[in-house]
Amino acid sequence: MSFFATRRVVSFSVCAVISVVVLYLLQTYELAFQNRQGLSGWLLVSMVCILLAYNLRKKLSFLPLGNSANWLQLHIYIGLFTLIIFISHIGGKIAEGFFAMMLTLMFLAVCLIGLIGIWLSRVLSKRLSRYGEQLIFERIPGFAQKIRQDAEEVILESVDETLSSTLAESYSSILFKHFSSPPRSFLYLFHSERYIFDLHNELDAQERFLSAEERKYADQIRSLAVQRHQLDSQYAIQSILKGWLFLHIPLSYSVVLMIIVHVVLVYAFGAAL
Amino acid sequence: MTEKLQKFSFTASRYERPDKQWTCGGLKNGKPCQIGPDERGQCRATFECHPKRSGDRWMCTRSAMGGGRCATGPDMNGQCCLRIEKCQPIRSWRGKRGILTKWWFSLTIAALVIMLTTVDKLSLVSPGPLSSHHGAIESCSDCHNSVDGSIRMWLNAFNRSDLHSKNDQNCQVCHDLGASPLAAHSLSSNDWSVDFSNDLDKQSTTANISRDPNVGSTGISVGLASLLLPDKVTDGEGLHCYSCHNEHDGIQSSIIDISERQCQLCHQKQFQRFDLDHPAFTNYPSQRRTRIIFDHVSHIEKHFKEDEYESKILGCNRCHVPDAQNETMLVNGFESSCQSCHEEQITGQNRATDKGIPILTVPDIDVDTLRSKGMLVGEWPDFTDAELSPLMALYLNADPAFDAVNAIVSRLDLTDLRNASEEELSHVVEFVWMVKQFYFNLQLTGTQYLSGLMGKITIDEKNTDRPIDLVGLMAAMPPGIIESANARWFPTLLTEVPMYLAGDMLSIISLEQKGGVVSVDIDTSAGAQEHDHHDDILSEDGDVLSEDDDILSEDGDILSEDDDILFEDGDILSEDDDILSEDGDILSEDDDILFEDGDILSEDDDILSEDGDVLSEDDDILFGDDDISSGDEEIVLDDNEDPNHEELVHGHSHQEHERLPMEDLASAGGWYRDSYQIYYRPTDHGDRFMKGWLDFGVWNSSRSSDVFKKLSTQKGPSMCVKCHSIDSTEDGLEINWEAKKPVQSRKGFVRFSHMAHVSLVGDEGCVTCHAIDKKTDYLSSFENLNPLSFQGNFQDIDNVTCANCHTEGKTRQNCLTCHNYHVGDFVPDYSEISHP
Repeated sequence: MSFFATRRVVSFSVCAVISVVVLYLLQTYELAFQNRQGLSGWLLVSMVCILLAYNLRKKLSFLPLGNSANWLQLHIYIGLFTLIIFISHIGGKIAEGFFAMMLTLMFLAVCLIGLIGIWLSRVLSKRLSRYGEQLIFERIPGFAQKIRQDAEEVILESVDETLSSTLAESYSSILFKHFSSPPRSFLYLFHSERYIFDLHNELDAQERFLSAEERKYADQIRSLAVQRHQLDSQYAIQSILKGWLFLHIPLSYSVVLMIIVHVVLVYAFGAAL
Repeated sequence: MTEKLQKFSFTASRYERPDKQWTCGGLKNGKPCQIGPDERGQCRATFECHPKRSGDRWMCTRSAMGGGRCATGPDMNGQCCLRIEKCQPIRSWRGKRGILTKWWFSLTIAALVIMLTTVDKLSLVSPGPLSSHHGAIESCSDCHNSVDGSIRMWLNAFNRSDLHSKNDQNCQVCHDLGASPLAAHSLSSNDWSVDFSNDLDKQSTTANISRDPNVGSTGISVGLASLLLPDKVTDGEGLHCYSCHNEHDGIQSSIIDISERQCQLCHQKQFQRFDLDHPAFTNYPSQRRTRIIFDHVSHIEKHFKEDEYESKILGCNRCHVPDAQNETMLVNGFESSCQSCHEEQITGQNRATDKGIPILTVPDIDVDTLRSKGMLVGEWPDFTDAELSPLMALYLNADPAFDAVNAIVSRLDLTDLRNASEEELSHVVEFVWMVKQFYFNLQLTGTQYLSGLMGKITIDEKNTDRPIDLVGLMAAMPPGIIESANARWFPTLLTEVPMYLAGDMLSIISLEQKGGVVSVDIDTSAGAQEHDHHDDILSEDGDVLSEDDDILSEDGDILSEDDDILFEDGDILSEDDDILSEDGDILSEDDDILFEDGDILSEDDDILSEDGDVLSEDDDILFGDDDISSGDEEIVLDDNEDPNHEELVHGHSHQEHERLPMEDLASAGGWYRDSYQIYYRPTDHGDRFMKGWLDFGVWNSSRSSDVFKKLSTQKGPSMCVKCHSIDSTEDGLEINWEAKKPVQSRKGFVRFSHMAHVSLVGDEGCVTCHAIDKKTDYLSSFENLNPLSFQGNFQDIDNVTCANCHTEGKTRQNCLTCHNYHVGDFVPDYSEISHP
């Protein structure tokens, strides 16, 4: 078993045990005519604070607060634990009141998006490794531009060397769009190879019209086309890996605000500890 | 294979800072500048390097990653020759996310501010709809104490320690749970001696808040939870309402949120499941003896032999019906269940002994001895053989002096006072006059007098709040019965008593010497005047013996040997009648009584003087048993003791038209006089007189115990206590006039709905659960006054019977299925309802 798998099993087990123990204690607390919801509520507030601290840790990277990977692990499993306690806190049902329903749905949405993000990071990162070299996301547009330039140079060279415009015409009609368009975000999200497969077919169909000299240049063009395809896949996957945070983080801050209001209401209406 | 796109070396790859808000616009072309935009997204690019002066020359400083030192180099002014075109910086992904987060955060704040400042803010922050139980509540402030104020007040709630108590009080505005609403079972420590499962009858129940670890086992949770119990539970202060009741979970939700394990925390006998280890029922459903004494075994075996009782269900239904809620089985009333067999026992129709109860009596007193000792007793009947009845003694007790007198008199044999001392005799005389005054006053003021006496009779202090049925206690006593009784028993009562009260003993002596002849000289009161009218032997028409009066029969008349004195005008003594001439007739020595006014018996006429009177006490026509001077016809009806009189008056004996005894004449019940006693005969079941006096007897234990003993005999008239059991309670004795009836406002520990179970009984019918126990001695339970010491007609219900259905997988078996938590009398306060 790999290190990550072992870590995952251990972390899940610890999280599960702690969750069961805490749920049991909460139930016992309620059994003793104590305010279980009050206790679980403050427990949730504490957990949310820890979850928020992960973001703070990223902003305060200069402080010796442990490495980010460990913080991420803590964030993941505390988030999972928080979700379990939250479900216990709401009694397994969504409140019918407007504010309480909004808070519940938002909290669940944050948790759900977080879980999806974890899943995506586990699934898409493996797929990412299959698309050539690992690239820094911000540089991908530049690389795409470079590939296009490389392709155009190969075409010009082939024209000069072979004195034939067949490959150039083929580029203009088939490959120009492929190389000049911006990185495609979602085309390859679902692991589709259809586009590159069609492109190969197009290039194969053109190949019989090419001379042996031109075919060497055609192979270079094909290679650059595949590289561009991989670049697009990289871009799409990394976009998703970064994009889910566009939902997770803003919603998290909204939830924090609503939790503050919720606590005030709970005390004002006399349902607190 | 193409070369790698991304090179990782300090000369080939610049350091990316993804946390920056902006990136260079050249990045999309793969040619970002080295410096990048500033924090506000402004392009800072100018030249590819900042040349450095070295001696008198300017040196290019372009980095290796930017392509290294350029071939052209800086100009003579030290300016880089490679100007970078200005770009439009683009936001980084982090920057875009930050912007989105700020907007979303701002939007959330705006939404919250709108929500908390809108008029309808309370409905927006409400966690959900109220349950149907509380659906009528319109304002949050009805339940929540601090919601009417501003948001600042909400924030202050953090510092309010009394908020829960205030909210609890809001609950109690509608839910009045008594003096200790939050205590365990809403019972104060004093209430724990009360068993509410059986209509507040007393039972020694002890509060057991602490858990006994040696009894039962309910798992670690309960043990652990018992350690976490709030102090206010263990010290008896109790819980907040929300500890067990949750609201805002929707219209259909249940607001009761308590588990059976929570019940186990405080109870000593702990168990896990009803069907497994619930403690066996003891004395269930009957935790006390029945209020109505009814031996099911003897009735079923001896009396209920008809076919209709063959069906056990139908048989039970003859006497038991469900209440309006179809939950509790009630006992049918007397009229539908018992009357057909037991009514005659109440009215005494076939009773050989007295059918009525002597209420007022003339005690037999040895007045001869008193007179021989020169003691003045006035007139007292010679032939009474009655004793002072307890009830009359109670009335006399209203006189504060009676106690002292009675203390002496009760020790004496009143029928033989020859051996009594002078002092004792003087008390007897006092007693005699007390009795006379009683009858005197009773005749003059009737039941008002009795009511006045009742007001003076002290009630036991603890029973002063009891409702005394004064009207019932009088039982509509007719005034005539006292008047006629007095006329018979004490003909000179209305003369004597005023004399006695005025201290005019000589007049009494004179009256005695006259033999008690009525002198009719009382005019001091309206009652006395009335007496004059009735007792005047001279009626309006002036004749004593008119022609309609058949007392003068052919033979034996007192006036003369011949009978023709009643001829002509029927006036025996008119001035025209010569019967009183010549022969020195019986009326007087002189004959002048018929002269002047022609009236034989005017008040001025001395016909009644001395020995020449026509109507002396020796003449039994007018006195003794046959007092014709009274206008009360009842006298004529009552006087059946003297057969001579009947013969004299009617001229024929009783044998031809035999009259029923007095007690049979009063077969419908009510008052009647017989001999020297006035009786009351119960009218029917629920007779107010009997009920009223029995209640009064038990409530006034110190003074009316004799009354109670007299009326409560099972062999006597009415026989009330033959069926209506008597309980000893903290407040004294209590007669159970009614069978158990559920009180809707009363919540006991146990509840059971017959309606929900009646379809489940098998062929055995009611006996499925209520098995008759023939071995018990049911009636012995009523030999004492303790309702909790008893032997029932039925066996205790077995848990197994219930557990047949109330078991895992069949139907509910949690505690609240059969038990109430809040117990006590919860009567809504209707006084607070406002009226338009």
